[in-house]
Amino acid sequence: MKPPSARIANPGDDPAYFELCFRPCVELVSTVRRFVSDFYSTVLKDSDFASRLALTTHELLENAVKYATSPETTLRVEIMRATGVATVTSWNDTGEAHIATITKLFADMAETNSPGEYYESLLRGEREAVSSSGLGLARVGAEAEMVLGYEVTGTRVCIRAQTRVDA
Amino acid sequence: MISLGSLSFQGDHFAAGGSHDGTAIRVWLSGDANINAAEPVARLLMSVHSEVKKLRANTVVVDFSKLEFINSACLKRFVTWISHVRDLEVASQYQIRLVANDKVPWQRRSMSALRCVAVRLVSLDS
Repeated sequence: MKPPSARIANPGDDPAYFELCFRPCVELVSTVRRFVSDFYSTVLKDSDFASRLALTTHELLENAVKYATSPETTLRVEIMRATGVATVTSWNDTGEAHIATITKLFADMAETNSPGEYYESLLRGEREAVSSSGLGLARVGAEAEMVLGYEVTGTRVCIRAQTRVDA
Repeated sequence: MISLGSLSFQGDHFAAGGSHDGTAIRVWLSGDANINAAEPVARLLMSVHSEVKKLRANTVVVDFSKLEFINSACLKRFVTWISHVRDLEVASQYQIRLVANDKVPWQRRSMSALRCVAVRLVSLDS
């Protein structure tokens, strides 16, 4: 396992981003969430937007805590001022069963017209969550207003959450 | 206000407590409701429901304003509780008031989401 690492771009640069590579645990998830909230509140001077990034960070990292099969998880939070896009991405190794679950979950989310509609249908019990990570990702889509995507390369899963930002 | 010991919880990063004033039970949450808080939250809400029946309360006020964050696992416990109250016979149902801090963006969003579980029973205060 590589030692934990971190890269932070100058907040004045484009992009304003940071990347962490570490073994997440419950306590560190909260620590990173607080950092994201504070960092982007300062960089963007928009506490609502920073809160959405923080919520996304927390839910993605908690999924990594629950389902990663190797110690190393990478998280990148990136604001591209030039394109006005903010992206939160996580990468971790996981098992075949969870890859199948993620695939099913994204197919399930795609069946509805909007992330809000999907989230509310889960909350009202009108639709069964595909897995325990289902509500968390649905929350990211609805409450944090993120467009979600995923990629699988071998055992490596990448979850990407993107939104527009007025930077 | 009479404190309710059954609603008291103190963990390393998350705490909760409760009281009643005859018709209403008041519950407060503080700290970080992360994945470690999911089971304490589930037990708390089961105790809240028991106290409502025992004290014949008609309203539960849940104060989230001191809560730093709630994750989806804890939020799901609230969904389960509200759904249970919604599915009771009308005579056994009770009102649920969620108190959020308007200055904390996630609270406004998450409380609105919880309200959609049972719009007729759940109201939002700030």
